[in-house]
Amino acid sequence: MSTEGIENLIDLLPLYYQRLFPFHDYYRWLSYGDPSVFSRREFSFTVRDDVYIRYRSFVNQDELQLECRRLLPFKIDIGAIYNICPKDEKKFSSFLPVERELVFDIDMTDYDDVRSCCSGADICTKCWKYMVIACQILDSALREDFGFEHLLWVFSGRRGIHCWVCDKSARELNSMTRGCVAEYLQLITGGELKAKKVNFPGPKLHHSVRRALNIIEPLFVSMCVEEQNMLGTEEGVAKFLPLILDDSLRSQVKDLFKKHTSSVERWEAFTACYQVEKQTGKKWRLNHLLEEIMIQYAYPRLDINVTKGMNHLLKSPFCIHPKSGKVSVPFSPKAIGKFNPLTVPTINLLIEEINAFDAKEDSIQESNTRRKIKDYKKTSLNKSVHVFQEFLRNLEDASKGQKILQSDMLMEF
Amino acid sequence: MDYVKRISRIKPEVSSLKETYPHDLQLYCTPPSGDISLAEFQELALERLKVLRIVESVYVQTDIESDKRLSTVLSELRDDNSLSYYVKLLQGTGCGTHSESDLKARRKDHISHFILQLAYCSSDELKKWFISREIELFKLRYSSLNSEGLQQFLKISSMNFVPISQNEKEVIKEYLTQSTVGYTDTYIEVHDFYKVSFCKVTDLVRNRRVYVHSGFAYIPDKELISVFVTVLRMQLASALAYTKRGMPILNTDDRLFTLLNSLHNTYTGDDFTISDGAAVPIESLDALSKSSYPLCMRFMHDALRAKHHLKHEGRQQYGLFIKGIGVLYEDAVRFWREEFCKKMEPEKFEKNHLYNIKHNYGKAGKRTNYTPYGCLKIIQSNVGPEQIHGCAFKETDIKILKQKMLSYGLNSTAINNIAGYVESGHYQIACGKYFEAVHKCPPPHAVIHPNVYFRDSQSVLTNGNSSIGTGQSMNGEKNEGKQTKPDPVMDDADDMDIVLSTAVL
Repeated sequence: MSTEGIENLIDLLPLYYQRLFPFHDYYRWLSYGDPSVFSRREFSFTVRDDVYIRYRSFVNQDELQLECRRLLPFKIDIGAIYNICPKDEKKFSSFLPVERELVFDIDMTDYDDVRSCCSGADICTKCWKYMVIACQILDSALREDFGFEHLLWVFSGRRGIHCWVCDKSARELNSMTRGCVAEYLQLITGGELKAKKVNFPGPKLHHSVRRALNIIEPLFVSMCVEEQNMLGTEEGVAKFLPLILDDSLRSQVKDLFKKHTSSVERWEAFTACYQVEKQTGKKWRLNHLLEEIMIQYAYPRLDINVTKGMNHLLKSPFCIHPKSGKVSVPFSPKAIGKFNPLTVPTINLLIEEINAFDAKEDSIQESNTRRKIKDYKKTSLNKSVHVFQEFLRNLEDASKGQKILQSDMLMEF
Repeated sequence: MDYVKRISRIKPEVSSLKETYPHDLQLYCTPPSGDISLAEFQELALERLKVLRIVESVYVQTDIESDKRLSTVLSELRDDNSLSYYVKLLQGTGCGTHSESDLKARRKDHISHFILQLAYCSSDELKKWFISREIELFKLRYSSLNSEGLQQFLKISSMNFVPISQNEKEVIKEYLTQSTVGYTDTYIEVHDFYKVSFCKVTDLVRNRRVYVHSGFAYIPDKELISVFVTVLRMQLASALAYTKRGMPILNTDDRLFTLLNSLHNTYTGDDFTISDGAAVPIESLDALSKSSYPLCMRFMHDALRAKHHLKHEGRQQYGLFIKGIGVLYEDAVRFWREEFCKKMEPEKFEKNHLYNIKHNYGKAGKRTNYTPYGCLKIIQSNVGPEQIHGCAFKETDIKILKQKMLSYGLNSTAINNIAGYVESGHYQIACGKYFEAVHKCPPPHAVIHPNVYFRDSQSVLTNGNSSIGTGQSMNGEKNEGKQTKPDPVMDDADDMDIVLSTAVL
């Protein structure tokens, strides 16, 4: 992780906002084809010395661009679309959020009780797999169960991922329905004093849970049992045993674990023992124990307050993480398996790339005949901008389709 | 907005009442119009409030089975003659009879509901309380409908649901069987299913009780009530927001203003926004946590002392609690600072946490003096990994819970008794039993608020004078008159403090 990103950030940001930040596409996204929507959007800036500025809004792309270049925000947060322009909010008493993407925030620190490779803000390719699973599970649930289509997935810049559901129907959800979606997707509940955080009572397993398990199961042993060494340490065993609520099975498993040492052996011993016990014992509590365990160890951990609130702020795509220097880049959920958070470009790298490219161009041609190439295309940001543009194309096609449909309806009447 | 006009012109015309009120149940879509006397206005308001309180008390008592709730409410209503028309309303089968007394009851139902909207629109807490109670009342009344009454109600509410075709059902049969919770395979096979937008049945979707696909929920016939509950909830939420905007006009009428404002003050009880006792020095918190804290607060206090940190939600729940018991602002700052700075740079504390304490004490931001959380809110709070707030009885593994109580000196009979209540989900009763085990006497009031628990404990400990009422008026003490703006919130609980610390720019 580059630490120099922090020190000279203020020197690099002018160039970044001047030449790299994709203002045009950014405006295409947040205006959704309607300039008034953009102008009522709240932006918040964190500028130098951690000064925080809330309730900014801009009438158009130019104004936003100018302000970014003037203030050089270390961080940009995006809030809701309000009934009136947020910058005028103090003049009105009935200032209310009216629209907002449905957002999800998954942060690696919430996995500290199940990952052993890193902790806190650190990540590596091993624990990144939790994010891969989280993305796949949420993406399929949001599309299949709720019928949403326009999902923008973004690397948060350091240790997590965000999802912006941008369908019109999603933007218009009220907080109650947002809470409903969030809780539907939240299977892990309970704090420090609750060891067993997943319970599927009754004989049935909801189809959304089944689908999540289909994603988790093939990876579970290699990822959780082996790599994270789930049962290989005493600490791991101490965390695991309380998940078995049935006293007789727990003491059997406890004894079995003494006979084995490796995580995989112990897991195999447990599953074998569980299968026997489940078939003979007819104990209702054992019904979905295996599924409950896998979900607890691998299912996405959501910060659902972010999803529930309409006026919650979330870090904007394409801003620079002030600690890691990395860009918050959009990625395709289909390619999440190939996404490597450790190689996400930093602002330093991008600026080196731009300089290198220009120097090469200059050496070949006269500077006044320099080819007109968009600056981001000279850098490794190019791929991410493409992902973003493809998302925008789909979004705009859908909204065009809707408009045509609407005008057709009008013609008929 | 013409609330004043609307209310002053309610005129009972029996002839047209049947058209206005064709059904025992209604969704309160249109406000009443006509003349009404001030006395009747007041009477109707108080009567409905009484009913809502009875309904609340029945729902809070988790040991009352859900199918016994209606009869329990009815028997309480029968004790009060002035509420006899609510007995009628609660037993209404739909449109069986339209006698004069039926129609009058429906009219009173309609008007009283809208009067309470006026009284309950001013703060989020009040709104939430009112909506929850109205929904509970609605559910009870819905359960009295017969099938004719239900069909008529669907028609009147213009909810023309058509069940999905047999073909469609056949295609998704596997999913319906897998995902429809609480119904046997045969039931699913035989009965009709309805396809509705998931937004209309959030209660069912939230708990994953039905099959959801492409934005539609497939619900069995019996669950149609969920649609009404959702519709009513949204309807009330927007109606209350609308009403609130009209309140300044109404408030120019002194008679109504006093009545409406005193209504919730008189009846929702003390909300502990401002402590009524003497200042509590922070040096005594360790001792108090052992003698008089409910378990949730004791756990957080212990965790704070041991780890010198609490996550955001914990800081809110515990911080507001100690404010409620009488810790002064300056002391609260010192308390949190001393503890947090054992592990944190003082500058970081000033930057990240100080503002939040100010905020809770109404000294910064929107300057609302925040109210300590009650049990309902605490039980419903969302507790994630490594967090320690919420209801201790709900959020603690039974084994750990037993160990903790044992280490606090409770005997094993009491512990097992408490554990029994916890396992059947009766957390507040469990908390009451815990009080009893600690104090050797049952709590003077049912456990509904950690600050009530604390006050009761203190009064029991200082020679058993437990006669402090919960219905004291709080006139003039509340500080929520200001327009509420949405809270600044962030993508990370800890970041929130940073937001708050500079949000006033």
